[in-house]
Amino acid sequence: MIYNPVYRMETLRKIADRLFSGWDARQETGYDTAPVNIYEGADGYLIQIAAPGVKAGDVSVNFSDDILTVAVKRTVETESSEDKKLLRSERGNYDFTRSFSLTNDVDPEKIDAKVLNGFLLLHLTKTPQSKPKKIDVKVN
Amino acid sequence: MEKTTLIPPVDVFETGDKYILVLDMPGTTKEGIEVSAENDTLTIKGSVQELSEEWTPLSSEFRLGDYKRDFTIGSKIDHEKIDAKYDNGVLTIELTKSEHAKPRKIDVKLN
Repeated sequence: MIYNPVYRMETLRKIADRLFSGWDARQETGYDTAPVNIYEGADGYLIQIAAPGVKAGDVSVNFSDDILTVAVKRTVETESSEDKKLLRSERGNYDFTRSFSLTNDVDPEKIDAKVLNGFLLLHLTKTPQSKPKKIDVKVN
Repeated sequence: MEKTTLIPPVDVFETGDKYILVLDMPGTTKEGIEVSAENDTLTIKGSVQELSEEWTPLSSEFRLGDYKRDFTIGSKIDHEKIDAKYDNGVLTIELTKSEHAKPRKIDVKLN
């Protein structure tokens, strides 16, 4: 299951799924892709993906043909071991890929990815032409 | 963006002398985590670090917010022996079982 920060809502969704689907139609709820927040700043864009516990080595970022593709994998303990009993498991593993089609105001040479405090942050820089320019108007 | 309180998902493990809680709390920092035990309740809080003002949201698929979750720990836990460790959005808490809650080996006398 993909990490979902809105845990309370997810739980309600599970209850709703149970109510509206027969026993034989039960399925694991969760996103089939990772939820993403996108921000815009003066100099670029920021893509924020929740990825707690993910290390830089668990992430791959590729760019080709104007498509930015991000793959993230996380493996956590989801089984009991002999001396460590799993009592409750809500976090889960995930393995997702998500692609973004970039607008032509992004400089493909300046795409930066980092893992920080449980987020994967992709920083895209705008090309110089597309940055808002301040034009001095001369008043005669 | 409107700030909400989120309930962090948890994994709970039990070993011979400990309970281990692992919580996903992306967006927090070590300094923003607060763990306290009072009476029978263990409270975990985490404040999320805001992005700087320069970023305007274009699309939001998940909400950011501070985290809070309470656990009832009862008398099975030694309140003096609670350890917390934070690493990249994941908080791990080790609770040591109180002496009377630990598994004991009882010698059986055969007469």
